[in-house]
Amino acid sequence: MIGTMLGALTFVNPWILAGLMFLPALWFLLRVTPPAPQHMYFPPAHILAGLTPQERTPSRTPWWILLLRLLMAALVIMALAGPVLNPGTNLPGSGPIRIVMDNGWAAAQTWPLQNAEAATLIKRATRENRAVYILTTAPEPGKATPMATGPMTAAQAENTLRGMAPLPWPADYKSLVETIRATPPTDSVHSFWLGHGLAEGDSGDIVRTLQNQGGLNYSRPAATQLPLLLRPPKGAGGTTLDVRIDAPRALPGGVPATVQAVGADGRLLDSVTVTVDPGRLPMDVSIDLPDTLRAQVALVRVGGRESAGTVLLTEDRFRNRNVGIVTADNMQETAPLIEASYYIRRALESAAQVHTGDVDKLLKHGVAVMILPDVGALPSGTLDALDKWVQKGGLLLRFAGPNMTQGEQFLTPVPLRMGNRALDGALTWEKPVKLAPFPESSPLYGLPLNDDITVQRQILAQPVAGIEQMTWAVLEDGTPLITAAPKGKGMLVMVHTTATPEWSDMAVSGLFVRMLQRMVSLSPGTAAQARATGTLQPILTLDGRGTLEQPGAHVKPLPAEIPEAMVPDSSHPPGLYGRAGMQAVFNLGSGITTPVVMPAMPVGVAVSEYGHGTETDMTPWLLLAALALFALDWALMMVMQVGWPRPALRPAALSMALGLALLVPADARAQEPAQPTAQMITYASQLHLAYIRSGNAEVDGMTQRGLQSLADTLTQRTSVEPAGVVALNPETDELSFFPFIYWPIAPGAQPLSDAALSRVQYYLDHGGSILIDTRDRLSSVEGSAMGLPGGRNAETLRGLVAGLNVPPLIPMAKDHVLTKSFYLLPSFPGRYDGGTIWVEEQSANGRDSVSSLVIGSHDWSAAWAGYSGTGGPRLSGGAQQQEMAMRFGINMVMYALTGNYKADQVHLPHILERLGQ
Amino acid sequence: MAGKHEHKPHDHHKEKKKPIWFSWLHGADEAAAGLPALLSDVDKAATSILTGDHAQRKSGTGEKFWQFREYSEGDRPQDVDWRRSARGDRLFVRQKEWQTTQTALFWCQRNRAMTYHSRPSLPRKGDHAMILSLALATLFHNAGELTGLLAGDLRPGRTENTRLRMANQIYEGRTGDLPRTDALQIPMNGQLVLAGDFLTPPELIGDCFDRLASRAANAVVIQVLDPAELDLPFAGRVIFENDFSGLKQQVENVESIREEYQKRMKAQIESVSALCRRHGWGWYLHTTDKAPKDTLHDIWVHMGAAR
Repeated sequence: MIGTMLGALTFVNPWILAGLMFLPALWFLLRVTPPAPQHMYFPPAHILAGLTPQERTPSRTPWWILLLRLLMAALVIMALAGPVLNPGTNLPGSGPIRIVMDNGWAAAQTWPLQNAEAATLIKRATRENRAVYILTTAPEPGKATPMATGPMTAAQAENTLRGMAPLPWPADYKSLVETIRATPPTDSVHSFWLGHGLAEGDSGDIVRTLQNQGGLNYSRPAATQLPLLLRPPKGAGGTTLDVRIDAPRALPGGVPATVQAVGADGRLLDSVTVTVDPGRLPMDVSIDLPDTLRAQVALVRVGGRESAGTVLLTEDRFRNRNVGIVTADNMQETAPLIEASYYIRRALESAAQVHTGDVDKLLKHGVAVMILPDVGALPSGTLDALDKWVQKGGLLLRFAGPNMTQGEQFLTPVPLRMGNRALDGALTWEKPVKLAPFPESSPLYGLPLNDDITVQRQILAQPVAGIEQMTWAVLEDGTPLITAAPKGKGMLVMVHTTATPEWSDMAVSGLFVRMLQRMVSLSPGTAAQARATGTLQPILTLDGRGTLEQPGAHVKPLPAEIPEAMVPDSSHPPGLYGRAGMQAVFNLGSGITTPVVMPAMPVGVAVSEYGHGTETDMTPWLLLAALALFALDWALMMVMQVGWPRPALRPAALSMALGLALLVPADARAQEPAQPTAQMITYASQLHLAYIRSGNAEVDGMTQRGLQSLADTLTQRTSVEPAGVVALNPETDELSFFPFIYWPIAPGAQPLSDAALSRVQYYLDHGGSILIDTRDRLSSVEGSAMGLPGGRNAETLRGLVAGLNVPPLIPMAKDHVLTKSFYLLPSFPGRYDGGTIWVEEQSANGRDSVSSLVIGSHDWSAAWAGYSGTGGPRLSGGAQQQEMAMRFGINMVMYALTGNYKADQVHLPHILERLGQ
Repeated sequence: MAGKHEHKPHDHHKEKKKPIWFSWLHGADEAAAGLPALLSDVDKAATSILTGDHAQRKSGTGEKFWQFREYSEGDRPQDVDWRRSARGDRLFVRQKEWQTTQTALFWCQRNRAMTYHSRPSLPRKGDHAMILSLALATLFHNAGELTGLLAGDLRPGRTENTRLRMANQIYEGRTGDLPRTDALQIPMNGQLVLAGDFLTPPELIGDCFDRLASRAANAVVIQVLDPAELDLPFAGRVIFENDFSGLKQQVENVESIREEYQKRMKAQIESVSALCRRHGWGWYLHTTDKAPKDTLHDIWVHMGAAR
């Protein structure tokens, strides 16, 4: 294997290999160059002369390093020579080459093969310095002629190739021949026809013409890779979804094909895998789908083969359905907003042709769906006619109403009760009921429900056996809202409320529209008798890869009567065409003739299959290998240079090299060891002020100084005598020793891990107090809707504490305990004055109304730090503001330590007064 | 500035073309900054030693007045002190004190070898050699003796100016590894002070010393060495080079030859001191990790004792 691989290795620039001759010289040079020793000027150097060291370190490069370097050099030389694995034979001829690219519908299935071959051809042309022509077989969109470009350089040709895509219509050999003849190249051109294996007409002319212009090679896919074609079923649809798979007879047996039924929203509804039997082509495939699902199938495709030929838009989904709305008389609508027909018409207008009139008239029209809004009694003859129509496959959709309260039984899916159920009347206790989600068995399943749809009145169904299976929609209390039952080939559907807003809100909701459209699409459909005339505009078209897209400007309308044998062309790609109330699908498979393989080529045309001998350019791989060797050499030299003079350094150097190579980020903070017990005892036995380390050195330094200053002032003025200031990392440190924690938020702080969050939560739940300082008063916006200060760091704060379970926060009241826990304070300035302080809603927490969280944005620590002159920022309010900030700090600590004690004490005079009485 | 770098004629002997780093190392900047610093070191070292004068208390060819005596036959008329003679009828001749001024001639090695220091924290060998030389010169001045340079055109003198010019010439001058011995102008009873590293092979040193000894009886040899030159505290694979015959000595494993080197070095020092002993000269070893002051003190004390 390797032998053959090496045998197939050639070089684009073989003369560069002559550089290999210099390798021995390189060997010599490298050999005499030992790793550089230390150079030193030393006056008594001559005294050293003649002294022989006892142990010799290698003075010459070790042979294996030499080998490494020589290998490296050889690799580079070979890479420069441009090695190509499995090179194609040289291109025939000497003039330019022409690539004839099959790009009709079938090419989509062989496109990667064709493309790779074309790329190889262009590469070879580059090597031989030959110009490239590119010619396609299918007409360009909107044009009658295929694309013909050239002569181009290889780079241009590559770009052109990249821009090409298969087209969803067949090739036009006639215009192709004309194109070839119209622009004969001046030189002799050797052509390479990269085909998809099928002949799309008489290819003889083309082959002759191309041969005459300088020779022809024909490439085709292997027989197993021949394209497939999906055709619509022969007869009218039965109870299954039928398609036919067609393929050229040359297709070998055993080619699998997965036929997929896809909904309009791209949902895969069902799929069937078959093995294509070349003896029985075209081959019928049926997908057994429930009726309700079948109606939702928008297209059928062959999985894994992206081609316009393997996509079949289903007639069913887009079938034109006539909908009839039965009105009591033939009068035009007089009061549109209270007429049921008005709402139904508006809902269905876009999807179907809607007729109105009495039953007889509608039956004459040949409607597929008949809607009876609030029609109770009908003449018996009409009923019979309706019954017959339903038996034949009609869909009868009835809406309830005041007229149907007589307990209808005929032509209803379930027997109805007398009277109606009023849920919102003046004398009822019940409230209007909402819709429950549609059951899974319902064809309406999946439609989005609006919360505001309520049903005030409805007609109840008699509870009969199996009513659950007949129910398509229920109310929240379980009463059926829409029931349905098959009758004959047709179906009866009953909506137990009105089609007007009279009994329910449904009629004015989007759900109504979607519901009606889906129900109408369920209709098996009776062929519309009245064929439309005129033209159908393109709505959605298929591209060459079988994807539905918006039609381009080149797409022209189709006649309303699409001829049976019409084949898509450059102006009429397959797709969905239509106009209001009328849609038709135009499939590639319906009109196209049975695909046949390209007939044998005449003598003189070289025929080959794809996939044999793809060229591989080895240059990048060789260079990569050389680079890897270089890196290895570098690492070795580093170890040797550093390691030889000082053996002790060797592991260090090695690990340094490894560290450099891996670039392992080391987070020192995450590796803090657990605190020893002695420290915990210290923390527990004395009061320490603590703060959460923000990770920002500047902020932390400021906080440390600020809290130290606060601690000093506390000692000076109050009986609180903190022993020190502790910086905490909630990820690793135990918080419970500290009654008060100051938490400055630095921008860009990492969110807490779950473990840290639970630690903070535990701390808060068990009596801790945290003062969170977002330090962004200047950038905050008052009255943020989020209920939190909305400054620059608020987002960070939210990220940090998003997982904390805290009561709702409210702006601090004027008489909050914080204003009087030690000093009486009207405001709480820090570095910034003004602004709101947020505390927990008092009623919401269960801790004697002591807020565990106090959130502000005043940057207090900066003000505290400035108080003792330890380098805080200058405050706008001067010494006064500094003093007030310090007083707030004292109040805060007092609050954290004493809780609502002061709040009670405030009332002490009153209590005493009361006791005295 | 360029003028400073012009080599004086006497500097050219034995020396090869100097490499570029040389002018950089001894660039004008360092000359401007380094010399005053050196001189202050010199003064510090010199003032640590008190000197007496060497007046002979008898009339002679000194410059100081000694006595008047009566004019006698044979006295030069210009020696008659007319002011004293005018007081009476007799003529008096002004007799000056006879002073045995010695001339100390200095040689201070200045080449690349002397710029060596094994660590940046240590001073260069040349700096200490120069401090020692100039401090001695200062002491000689203070003792009323003349100082000059062994090589060069500087007239021996004992003024401050002489001292500064000596300092300048030593500082900017370039010498070989040993003093030249051709065209020596050594006054009788001259005192030689030779400061250098004396690392050249002992035969060369012996040759040189023999010739010098033929011209001057008295000499002091100060051998200035870097501690690393004594100990060879290096390790690993090192290429040593010096200017002595442009040798590049590659040593694969310095540790393994350290002891052998130290032996050889000891022998070298030993041979230098032996040479000095043979000529009755003073020999002092100074390493740059010692204060020049101490060595200076030793030298001065011994010199005083020798007199």
